Amino acid sequence: MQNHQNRPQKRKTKNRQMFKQAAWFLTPSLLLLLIFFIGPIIMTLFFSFTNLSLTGVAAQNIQFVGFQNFVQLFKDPKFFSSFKNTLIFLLFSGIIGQQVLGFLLAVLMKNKHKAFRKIVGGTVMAGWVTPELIVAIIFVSFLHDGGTLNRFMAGLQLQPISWLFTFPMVSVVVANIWQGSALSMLMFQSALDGIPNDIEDAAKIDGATAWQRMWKITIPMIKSTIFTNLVIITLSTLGVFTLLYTMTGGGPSGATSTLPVLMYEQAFVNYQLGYGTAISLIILGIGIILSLGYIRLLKTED
Amino acid sequence: MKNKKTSSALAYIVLTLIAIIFVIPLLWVFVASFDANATQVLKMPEHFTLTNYQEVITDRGNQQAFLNGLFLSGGQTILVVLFSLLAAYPLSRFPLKNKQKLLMTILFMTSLPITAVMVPVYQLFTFFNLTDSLVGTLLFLTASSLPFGIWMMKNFMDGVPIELEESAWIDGASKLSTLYKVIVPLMKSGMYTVAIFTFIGSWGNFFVPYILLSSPKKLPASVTLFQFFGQYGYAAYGQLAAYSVLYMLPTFILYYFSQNHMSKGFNMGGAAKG
Amino acid sequence: MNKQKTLIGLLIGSALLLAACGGGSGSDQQDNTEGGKVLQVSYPSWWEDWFKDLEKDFEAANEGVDVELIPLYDDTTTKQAIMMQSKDTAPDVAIEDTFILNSDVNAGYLSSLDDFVNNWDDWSNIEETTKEGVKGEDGSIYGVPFSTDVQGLWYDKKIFDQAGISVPFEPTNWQDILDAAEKVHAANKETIPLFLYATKSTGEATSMRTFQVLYSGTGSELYDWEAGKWVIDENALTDTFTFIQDVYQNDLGPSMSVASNSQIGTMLAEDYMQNGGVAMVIDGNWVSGSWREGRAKPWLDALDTWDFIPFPTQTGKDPKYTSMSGGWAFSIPKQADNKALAEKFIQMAVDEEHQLGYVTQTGDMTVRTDVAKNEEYLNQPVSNYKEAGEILQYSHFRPAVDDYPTVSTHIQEVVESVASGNATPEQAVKAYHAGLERIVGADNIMKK
Repeated sequence: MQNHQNRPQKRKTKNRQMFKQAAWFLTPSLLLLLIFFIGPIIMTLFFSFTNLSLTGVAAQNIQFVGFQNFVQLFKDPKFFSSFKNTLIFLLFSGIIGQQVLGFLLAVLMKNKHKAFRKIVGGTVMAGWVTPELIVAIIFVSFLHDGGTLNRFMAGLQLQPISWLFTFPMVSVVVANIWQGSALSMLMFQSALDGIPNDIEDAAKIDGATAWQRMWKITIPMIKSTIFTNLVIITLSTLGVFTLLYTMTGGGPSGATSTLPVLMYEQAFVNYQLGYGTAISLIILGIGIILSLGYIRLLKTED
Repeated sequence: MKNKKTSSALAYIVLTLIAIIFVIPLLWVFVASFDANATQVLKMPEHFTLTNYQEVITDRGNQQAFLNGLFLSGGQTILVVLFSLLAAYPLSRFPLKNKQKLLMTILFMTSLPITAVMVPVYQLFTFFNLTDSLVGTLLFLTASSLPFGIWMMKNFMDGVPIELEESAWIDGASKLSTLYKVIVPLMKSGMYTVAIFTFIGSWGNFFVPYILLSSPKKLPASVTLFQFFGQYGYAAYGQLAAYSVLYMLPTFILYYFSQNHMSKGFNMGGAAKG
Repeated sequence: MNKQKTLIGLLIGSALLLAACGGGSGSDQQDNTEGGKVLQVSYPSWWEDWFKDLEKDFEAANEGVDVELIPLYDDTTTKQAIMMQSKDTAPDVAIEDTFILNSDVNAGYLSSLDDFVNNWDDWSNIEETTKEGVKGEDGSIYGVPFSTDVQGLWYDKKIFDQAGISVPFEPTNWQDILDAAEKVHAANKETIPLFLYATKSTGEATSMRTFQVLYSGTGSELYDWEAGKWVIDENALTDTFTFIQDVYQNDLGPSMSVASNSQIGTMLAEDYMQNGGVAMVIDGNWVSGSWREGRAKPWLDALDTWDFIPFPTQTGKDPKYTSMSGGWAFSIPKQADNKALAEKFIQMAVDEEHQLGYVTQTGDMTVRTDVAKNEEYLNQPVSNYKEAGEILQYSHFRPAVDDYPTVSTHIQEVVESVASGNATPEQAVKAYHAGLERIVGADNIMKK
């Protein structure tokens, strides 16, 4: 590499060549992304400033309405409750739930018997391998008025609870944790495996308690994993739709209506496509802001 | 020493409890699928039966839906692995200008809930005459999981030491053959990881195919299962459970085959940077 | 390593197989363009049985024609609107809910059927009132009605007897109904005294079968056609919401968890109503259709227990009763490939024989004047067509303007907030007004 710097001319041609090759490698992906992803995003941007509708006059006579969709959105109490629900769902099911449970599992499983690890890991993985739609079906049955959980509680002489109705947010958060924790577990497991044992041993000899070792050694050493995990979880939780839609449909009384659910309702139930795309744009914005935030955080920590 | 033992025992107990909690909701779907009088409660079947499975399997519509689903999700998985592998190579290896910006853009794209862009996508499909086309749907699905695929693949590839390729270059190998001969064998775990991610995400998705396809003959299993749930979900629990179990099979099989690769894959990507 | 080879083999094998299948189903499409032999008919999935019959009969009568049925599940109007946007996916025959028909006309999705119906003798046999529901704002006909219904009060005579309420029950105002509910509740805590659709998960039923049935009984209207504006009538709205609150907040209605079940309509007919679980229900006349032979839970003696009566206006003032009617029609999308064949299909689907078959299967009311007089129709087992026919004269229709679907969703939310106790009737009126203003704009609202 070093001698390249001494020959700028050659380096330039080499760069051009490299660029050409890179272009070839990137072409299939970029082409697909341009047509099917960036295209629709640009259209989303455009539609969010129009009155486009699925039916009615506005379906064929689309008009530019400026910021009207956004003004309407900020006047709508449903938007704020959905916004709040999105953040609650993200925080409790994703950032706290999956991340903490995944970490806990990884820590507890470290150095345990191999067969045991396999069994416990397998049951947790089963949640992740289960398709979202089935997760919803399973949890609707499990939490239903006459479902397994209530039968179990009856056995303990407890009053049955209509979980999906009384604690809707808790229900969907639990279902999402059930589905997603395995991923965090895997990531943390491999990160923990990467910490050399002698560092921990040395700390032990120095008399550090388990808690101190955790905060002073383990967590700093797996920091980059935590951030990667945080980004993945945030982005994937932000987009959760199938689970919520199938389990609660956003109800009752909008208690589990997140922005994707609200967007679906406005665009596909109320036929207001322009309005719906305005919500899409906001979801996109939240994802970008949070990711940028994490990256900034990671950089300052370094 | 004693302290260590108790804490270890405690860990075993906690883990066992977690495992039980994780397995109970899932157990219902298996048990109920063999129960002639299944309800929503987990209970031993009084009448063991295979009728639930028989009814679901012998239905021609269900068979077709399964094949459609395998075509969409399987095809998507193969394309995503292939394309993201290609795209990850220059992103990981070449000192390209604006690479960081490109990576960021790719990362942001992953945050976009697909639901959010379905309206424009549908109009795009109308424009290209792709509505009700399985291939069109496949291409869109591929595009939708490419950002995450590329991002993961690039991180995995960063974990493969560059020295090996350099010696291959000196031997005069082209970039493509270096990728195929040197990197791919070392990337297998990463590729499996991307594959299983893509497949699971795709297999459970009913919304995209529901919007983009309309002929009943082309609908994948996710859509028909969702419809079944909506229509009979509160009556035919046994069949719903049997359908669900069958529907879960492909992802469990894929996971079974790739589980070892997956943990290795994560070891590779463990050092992944945001 | 072996594992891996197996997997790769499996993957490639299935990919090849599927590519073949994919190619196979792709070639089906070509049949559509060739000779016009395929007729695509899309319809909401709950009519599966009837459409299978139509398919059989039409194929038998038209040799070489293949009817392709496209059942739609969940959000059927949405899915259909999407399909009608493109020539590739537009069916030849579409089913339109009359409340959305006008919007779909405005969107340019539907063909005018004027020429078709003017040259079709049977058209004169269709009830004039139902034809109003299929007219676009331009005065043209865009659909052929095939089904209508009325809403009324279902009550369980046996439960009423036990609760000491005289049967036949003849309520003349809302208070009579609340009183009866109180009595049922006092006599029997296990039974739901009065079921009203009141949550968002029951969708349009909440808006039409509960809110609009009640509201129309106040004598007010939601939309003023002459002014072309939505109406805010605070008294009428407050009274309507108060009734819902009285039912739900005084244990006279179902628990919210029952009311929030999106399948509750089916559960009422197949379970609650059959097992003494509910004493009164405001619902369509067709509920009895689900007790007929051949349905999931037949109950042939149902009408010994249940009676269907007209729902009174708020205070009993003229015309004494009120109701809401929905309706469904056959339409031909503008982008349809096979319009001539589609017309033929529609002619068959609403002829006397098939209309009778339809009402026999579903329990809906007929739209044909000749069938309405038919003894076979009137005397069907587990039917109440005479009562329903009487109610039709009191019936109202939903305002089929472009904003209706959005306003209706909003109504569902407001009704739910009252039923759940999250809002008082006064707060609900404010919320309705604010939401309406957001949806249609302050300029399109008038106060009454």
